[in-house]
Amino acid sequence: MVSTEELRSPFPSAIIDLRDVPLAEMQALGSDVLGRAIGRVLPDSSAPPVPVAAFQSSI
Amino acid sequence: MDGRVFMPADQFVLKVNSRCDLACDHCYVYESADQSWHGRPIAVSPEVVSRTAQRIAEHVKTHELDSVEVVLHGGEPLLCGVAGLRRILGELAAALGGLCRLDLRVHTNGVLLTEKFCELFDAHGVHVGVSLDGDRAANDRHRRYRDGRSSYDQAVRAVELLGTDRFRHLYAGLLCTIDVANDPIAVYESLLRLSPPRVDFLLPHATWDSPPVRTAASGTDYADWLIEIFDRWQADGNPVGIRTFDSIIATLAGGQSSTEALGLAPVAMVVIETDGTYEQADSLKVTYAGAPETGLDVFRHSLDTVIEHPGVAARQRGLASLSATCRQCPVVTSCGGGMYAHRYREGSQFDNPSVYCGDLIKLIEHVKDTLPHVTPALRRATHVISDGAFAELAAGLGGAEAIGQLTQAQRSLRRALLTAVYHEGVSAPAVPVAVRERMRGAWQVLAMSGGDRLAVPRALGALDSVLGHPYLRAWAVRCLERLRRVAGDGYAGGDGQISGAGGDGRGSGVSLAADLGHLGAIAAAVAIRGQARARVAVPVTSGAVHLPGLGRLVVEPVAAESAAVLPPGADARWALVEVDADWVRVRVGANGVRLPRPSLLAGEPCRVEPCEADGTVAVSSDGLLSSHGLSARWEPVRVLAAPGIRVALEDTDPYRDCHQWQAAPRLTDAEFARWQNCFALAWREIQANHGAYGPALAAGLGVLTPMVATSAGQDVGSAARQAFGALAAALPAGPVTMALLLIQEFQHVKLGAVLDLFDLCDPADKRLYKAPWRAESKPLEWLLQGAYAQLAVSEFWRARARLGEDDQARAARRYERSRARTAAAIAMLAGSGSLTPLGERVADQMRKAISAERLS
Repeated sequence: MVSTEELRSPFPSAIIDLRDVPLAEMQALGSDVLGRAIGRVLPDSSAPPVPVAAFQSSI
Repeated sequence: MDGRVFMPADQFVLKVNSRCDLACDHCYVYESADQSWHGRPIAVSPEVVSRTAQRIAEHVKTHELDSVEVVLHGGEPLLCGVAGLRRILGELAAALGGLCRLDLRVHTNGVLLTEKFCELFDAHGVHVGVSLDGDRAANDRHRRYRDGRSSYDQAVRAVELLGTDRFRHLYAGLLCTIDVANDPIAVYESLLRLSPPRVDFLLPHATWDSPPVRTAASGTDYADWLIEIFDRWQADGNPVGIRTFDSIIATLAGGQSSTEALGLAPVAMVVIETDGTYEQADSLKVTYAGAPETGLDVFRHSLDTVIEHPGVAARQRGLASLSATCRQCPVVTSCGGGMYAHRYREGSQFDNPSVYCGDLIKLIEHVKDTLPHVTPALRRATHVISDGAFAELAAGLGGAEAIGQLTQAQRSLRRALLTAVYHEGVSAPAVPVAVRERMRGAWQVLAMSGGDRLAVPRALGALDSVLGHPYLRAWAVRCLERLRRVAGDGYAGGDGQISGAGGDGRGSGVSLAADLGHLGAIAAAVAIRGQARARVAVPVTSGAVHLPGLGRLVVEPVAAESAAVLPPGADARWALVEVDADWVRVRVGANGVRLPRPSLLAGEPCRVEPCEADGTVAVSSDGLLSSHGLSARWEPVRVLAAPGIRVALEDTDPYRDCHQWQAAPRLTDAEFARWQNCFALAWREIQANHGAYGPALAAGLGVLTPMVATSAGQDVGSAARQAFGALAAALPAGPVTMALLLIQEFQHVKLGAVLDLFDLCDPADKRLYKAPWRAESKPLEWLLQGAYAQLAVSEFWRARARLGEDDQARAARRYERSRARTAAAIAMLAGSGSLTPLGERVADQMRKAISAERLS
């Protein structure tokens, strides 16, 4: 097991460490967070747009 | 500096009708302090629609917006009639269709919704949300006609219409206004029965002057009510997106809220009334008469002017706009002070916490306590590569430690991708309901038995093992790309099975439904490895039920009768896989077979038996076991083994065909024996003569996929960016060539994983570069990949040339050619001016490595 905390790198990567987040809680992170996590793998198709402070009375 | 970030509006609420056919006593439009609806035109006029569309178009051009959302709202928008809404939608499409992506929505009470409306909405891609407060008792508490009649049956009929295959892609979700007198679980369950893609529970609008109804001793009735649902939602494995909960979780993790009711994100919304006046959020109607007014209208004022209005500006200042109490609150980034209207008190106006402050704190703290991993998920370290490992990799090598660091980052990526497939799959309106249900069933198995933090280590190991399969990422990326392509394009295809390429083709004929259904296969594999009980639906693709990493059960239904009696969740193109302690049962249609689980885990050829109640069995000459209408043959994944290395020979996975050349069909035993023999000798060659590359291969190469040989008989090998840990090749003529293919292609695997972590080339450089070894020109990253692989090729031939064997002269020529090519490519990279600092470091290490190579 590699401990990322023990390592030092001149440039931090863009990949968030999600190894020990239970899957049930991963799902709850939502598309915004997941979109950032996988953005480098799917650079040309970002996650579905999440409305910013969107109108509450429609869905 | 007032802390404001100017944000152009990208959401427009167009009030198309100011009246309603219901008389809900909790409606903020008609039952609030502001009664301005009395003086407004009933229906929006063509002039107002036209000017509104022009204003939005003007705003899109000024701010170069990629997309805008327009919500048709009321009152009740369907009172405009089909013809009225057709004119409005036509006007919006004409003004905006060519300018930007137009996300059209309508929110309705549903009672007037008909197929005609749905056909219109389908033609314009309008997503439909419906207000429904729960079951009949809950809904009838407020949502009644003026004469007191219930609206429940009409609303449910509307939702059911939206749930049909024909219109399912239009179904946006359900909005439920909370009444704490209702049973929260009954409300939750009743809404879930209508299979909404999304739900939200709205706090009833209230202010400090007109506070919400409370009866509980806790004083936090609304938090208590929502917490009951949240806990059940968690226990259910999040079967539907619930906007309030999703927003709290997202903000706890550092992301954005998706509702104005939570979070600190600036509001980018403008309301246009039926008379063309601009308003701030219409929820302000609950505060005082005239509160939403701006004094501006579409005929005289641009949308930029509206954004500059102090009332709108106040809602774009984030934390700075909140009361002193809120600014010091530990949960402020999640609650954002709550709904703006809910902060109102005469005198201090909006400079107060929300009237629901206690509820919001309790709910957010509960979510945080329940999901302890969420808050730190994005605040802790990202994956990094140590200096030493990076230096090794940059020089073209890298041992087990370096590969281990790359592998750990891939674990995070695969977990995120798997989750995204589920999250987007069950949320996509275009995905058929039955497929979503199957995905939910699979996710329950994954989340509850394979990945829960309370799971036993064995189960967690099973999840990691299955997620570690290289083609899981290829599958996930394929699903996400397809989901995003069909967004807005309607139905995603039937529950169909593979339709092309003779069952081992490149997968283009697999429906999205079958792709998404593969989540069930992943869940089944986790259950089998983790010794957990499970029951999941798995698509039959290429005539087989696939269990990733284990093998496939080739099934051939020989009797049409099997389709006549189907258990829920299964049909002729889906199998039901049941896992228990001893057996894995696979049912296709009415018939089934069982396989002993220990044999599956051991990768052994195993006997296929009929399920207990399925009667007589016969074994045909081709090895297929027939049990009534089902014949089946188990084909395990076989392993290539040599001292110090074990690699799965993957000739069953339906997503293995992601390489440059076509994947080969299942190998015969004799063909496998040839691969094993060649692989063992190739490994001996690597160990003996190219030892520096051995540790990385032993640590990182998990799968070798046979490919179809080219007609010219050339040696072909391939790595795929979306399949870390896998290589593909046609069986080479001899072990030396296989050794070269393994080393060369694994260079691409290593560098691809580094590129997942870091930018080595400037993505803005769109120039094409001609590599010294190819005729065509390609982007800089491709040149880097090629140079990195050629570095190893050069070293390989140098080592062969020094052996003094029969091919010494040929090896020396190849070495000189590869070395020259590599040096030239490295020079091109360095001279491009488009390497990042880290990319320059890689190029420098490569240059040093090639310079150090000497033939003697």
